Amino acid sequence: MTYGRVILGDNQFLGVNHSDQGKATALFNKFDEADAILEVIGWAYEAGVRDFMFTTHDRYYPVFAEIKRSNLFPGLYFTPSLPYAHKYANAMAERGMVDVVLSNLGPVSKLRLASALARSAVGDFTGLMKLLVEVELLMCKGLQVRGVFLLNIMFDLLLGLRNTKSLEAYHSFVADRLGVIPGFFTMNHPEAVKVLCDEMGLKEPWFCSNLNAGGFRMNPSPADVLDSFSSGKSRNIAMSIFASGALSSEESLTFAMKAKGVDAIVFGSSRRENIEKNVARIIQGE
Amino acid sequence: MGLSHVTIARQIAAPDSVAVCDASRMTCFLYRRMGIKAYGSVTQALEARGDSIRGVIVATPTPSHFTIAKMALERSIPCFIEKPLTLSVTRSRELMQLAEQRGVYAQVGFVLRYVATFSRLRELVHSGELGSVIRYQAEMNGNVITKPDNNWRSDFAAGGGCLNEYGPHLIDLCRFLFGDVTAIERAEKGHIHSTRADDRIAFDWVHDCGVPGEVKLDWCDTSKRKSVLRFSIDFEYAQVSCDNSALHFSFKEKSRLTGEDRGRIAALIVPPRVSFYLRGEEYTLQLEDFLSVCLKRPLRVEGGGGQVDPARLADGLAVDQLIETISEMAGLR
Repeated sequence: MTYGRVILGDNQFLGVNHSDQGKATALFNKFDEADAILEVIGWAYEAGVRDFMFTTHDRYYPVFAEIKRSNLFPGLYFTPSLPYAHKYANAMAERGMVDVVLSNLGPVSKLRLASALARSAVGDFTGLMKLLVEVELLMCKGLQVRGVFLLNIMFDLLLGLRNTKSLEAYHSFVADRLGVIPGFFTMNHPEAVKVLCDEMGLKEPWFCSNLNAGGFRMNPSPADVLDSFSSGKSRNIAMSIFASGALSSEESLTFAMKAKGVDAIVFGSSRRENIEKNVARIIQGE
Repeated sequence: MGLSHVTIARQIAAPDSVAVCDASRMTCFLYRRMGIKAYGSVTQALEARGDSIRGVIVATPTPSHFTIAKMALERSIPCFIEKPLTLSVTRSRELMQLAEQRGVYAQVGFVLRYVATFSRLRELVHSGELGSVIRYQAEMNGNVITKPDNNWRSDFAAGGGCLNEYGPHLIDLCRFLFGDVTAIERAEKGHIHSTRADDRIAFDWVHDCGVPGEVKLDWCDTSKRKSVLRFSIDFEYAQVSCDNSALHFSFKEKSRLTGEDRGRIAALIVPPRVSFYLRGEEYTLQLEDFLSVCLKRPLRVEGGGGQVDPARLADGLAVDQLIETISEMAGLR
């Protein structure tokens, strides 16, 4: 299984805008209703997008329920990115950690939680990692899942700590047990390739990383990131491709499409004309 | 959060050169399982590593900052201390004097100085490109306290309340941008859910450079999803608003700036590049600055941005002093 050339992202639905917090807040409020989100996914679907990548935010429950109930978007694949950290952080401040963990467990047995916690107490986080994936995946029940991506807030932490055991456990659990593509968001693509491919020996793992003409969040340098994208050691999804300052959206898109080693491009937008225009460009290629 | 300090420091310096001290045996055990050297106390670490210690990062709860920083400074070891510096002006001053006597470098974790938009704002204030600053407003709002609470967060004396929580960040940024504060003219608190601490606080002050500022903090703002910090600055030639993601300019009629000037001034800001990104460039940048002093070599990567003026102990002390005065004027003490 692999990704299509173009993937719909979800920053617009969650009020994430790296260059304007004001706009971001307005969007977050606009997409408070499931219908508003469904409408945008619908535009992308009609334009030919068959992959939707999203963060496991609570606001998708009614959206996914409607997609399943009405069998909207047949052939659309879903890729949850997890964990949505704000969810846990906010809930923990309100209700306390134990309550949050228990209430998010759903049908996963408390016995398994106990065992995972016991193992993590002796420094083995692999059980907890699997449990986290399973719990977060509950919202995708009944949907076609293409892959599961670990968000950079967690992946880059594990990467920095060289906690390769947890990364291995996650990778094999998603690939072997769930049978879908395991992936990683990272803001440190060269370091991620070095550790996962060279040191851990993973074969062509999927990364989702910033790649843009402006060098926005391409660490430690744009040249290093372009090099590691084109190394052929990993499969890559380019994101934040429009964060390029002076360039037009047309030129930004061309830059990402011409870069070596880009298997797919993920972008989000709340405007129909942008979605249609960009999807058409990416699908028809050079 | 100690874990992110450890992660960034390991990535910047050599992984094996970073060790952790934590009073919790469980935490130490977990760090060791991850292959990180861990000590149960600062004394133990000092005994074991002694002269080889090149720097100390203090990321413990505030009440222990003083003791740990003092142990390091007395041994002339450079120190990075998370904000707020200490819970008392006297102790903050003692640390500052100790560092001065010993000639040791010490940095305070006012991380917002490293946010690209605020650095740019400071350049605009200093360069005079937009004329002089007439006045400004600064506010920080968030939806932190949503119901009456009965813990330390709702108790000013225990370090709770909006002034203690939001104040250090915003007050340091105001000083970073406009310099020292000469006088506080007014301070008023407001309660929404907390009775023993402020849920809102507003104060007016004047900086040494003559610029007046109005500051408002509110942690019961239900319209906010996360904490937002915003400056509105009235320059001679433009009205500028700035948060941690963007600057917005509204140029004034009388400004003689050409279209080209305006374009350059309002150009989109690309955050600096960092050696390892974890949770925002600013967190890595501040540790790159600290560790470059400890390791005596430059650590910024290419495109890592211009020199930032890191917060020193004197800045930490000044913030503690302002908080003390504001809280007295507002009737919180």
